[in-house]
Amino acid sequence: MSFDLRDLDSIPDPHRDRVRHAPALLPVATPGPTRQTLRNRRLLALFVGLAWLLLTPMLWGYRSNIPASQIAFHIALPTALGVAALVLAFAPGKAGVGPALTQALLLGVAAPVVFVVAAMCTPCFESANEVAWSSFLCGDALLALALLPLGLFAWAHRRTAVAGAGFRGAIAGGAIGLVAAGFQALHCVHSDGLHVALGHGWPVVVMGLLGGLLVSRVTRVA
Amino acid sequence: MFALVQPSPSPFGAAGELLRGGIGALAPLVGACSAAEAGSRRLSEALQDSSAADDAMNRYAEGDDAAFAVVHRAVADRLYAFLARMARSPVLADDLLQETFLRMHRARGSFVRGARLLPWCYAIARNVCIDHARQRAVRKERAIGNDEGEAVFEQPTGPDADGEQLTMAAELAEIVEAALAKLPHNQREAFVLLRYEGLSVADAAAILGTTEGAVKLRAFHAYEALRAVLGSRAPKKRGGA
Repeated sequence: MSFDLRDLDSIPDPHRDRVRHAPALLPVATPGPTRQTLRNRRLLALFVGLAWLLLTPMLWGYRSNIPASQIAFHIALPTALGVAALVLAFAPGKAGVGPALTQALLLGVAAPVVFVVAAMCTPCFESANEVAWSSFLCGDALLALALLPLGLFAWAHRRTAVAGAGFRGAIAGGAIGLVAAGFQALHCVHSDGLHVALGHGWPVVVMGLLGGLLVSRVTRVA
Repeated sequence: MFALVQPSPSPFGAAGELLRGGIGALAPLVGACSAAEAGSRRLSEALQDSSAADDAMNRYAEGDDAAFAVVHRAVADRLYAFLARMARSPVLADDLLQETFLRMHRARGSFVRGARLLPWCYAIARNVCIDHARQRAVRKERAIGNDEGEAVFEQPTGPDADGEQLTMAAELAEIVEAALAKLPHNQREAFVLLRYEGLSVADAAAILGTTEGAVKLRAFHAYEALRAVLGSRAPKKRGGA
């Protein structure tokens, strides 16, 4: 269905005459950080976040034998999807105010779904009870792992999202959750597909909600 | 927080533009206003296409504080017009404009190198409108614009304006204003950005944080609603003309 907007000009403007005189006001408040300052802040957040993601599983203990399927589907895939979604969520887009909504939503929703489906495609051999308990424990650890990078992300991007802060925050939260899931798999001893899909999947959803509801309040230009 | 500076020249100088493109009964007035409309539109397009303001904002984002004056001159009138249309109150628009510039001031580092200034500052102005509406909703105040200065419509002036034209213009303005006020917020902002601010569908979609299709749909619904109101309630030309 197409919407013909060619006759839009036929609607008169009731405010045309009274908006002629814009008041000449100039802010003299302290200006915000420059572009370079923001860039440095983002680099610092990236460095600290990555260090946290690498060092924390190391302190918990990296698992010694990682199957090839685990490397591909439980580590590399979520990390790659998360990084891609994160980059897209805060890409400037054509107009400089953010990415196209359709692209961002597509990747933001597709990334966690692809991760869960891919995890389910790997062998599932643990019992339901085992999976439920291990998923609960592993998910808690994953949340603890991901919260600091999310906080750093919010700090680095505060007052930078002029449009779509809610969905961009949600995508960023989910993306950071995915990256953390990849690093968590370096430590997690469970190779079961169902465990990864559930135990590493539900924190991604929680992170997405946190990003959409809380981080967006910080990152929005307000 | 803000200092008064020398007023900048406004691109909106076309008296009687209120009636441009009006309905059939107002066709004679439309013709009289077409030249002014064309001039205004050319100026608006020139402003939009100009890279001077974009360059100034780039410099400002890099730390050149003096460049903000150029940015202010380039967008103040357009932002004020947008805010006045959304808030439906010139008094309130003054406050919202100050808040918009303050936010631009604080968020200057987020302006992407090579981006265009207009979509960026319109997006911030829209956030200001939304925040204000939310604050008012929390305070359980009346709808935006109702208690902070009623709409006051300036009458078209000049040698071609006569009493009848003035009356019709005022009536038409009231009808359009009332119809705009009844539109859902998302339809009104899409319509205002496309019709009155002259932005492209892509820019409006970026500013509103939605898809181009959604913007077209909202503007089209708004247009249909306004046309329906104008068709049924247009002021009749008196005196058998």
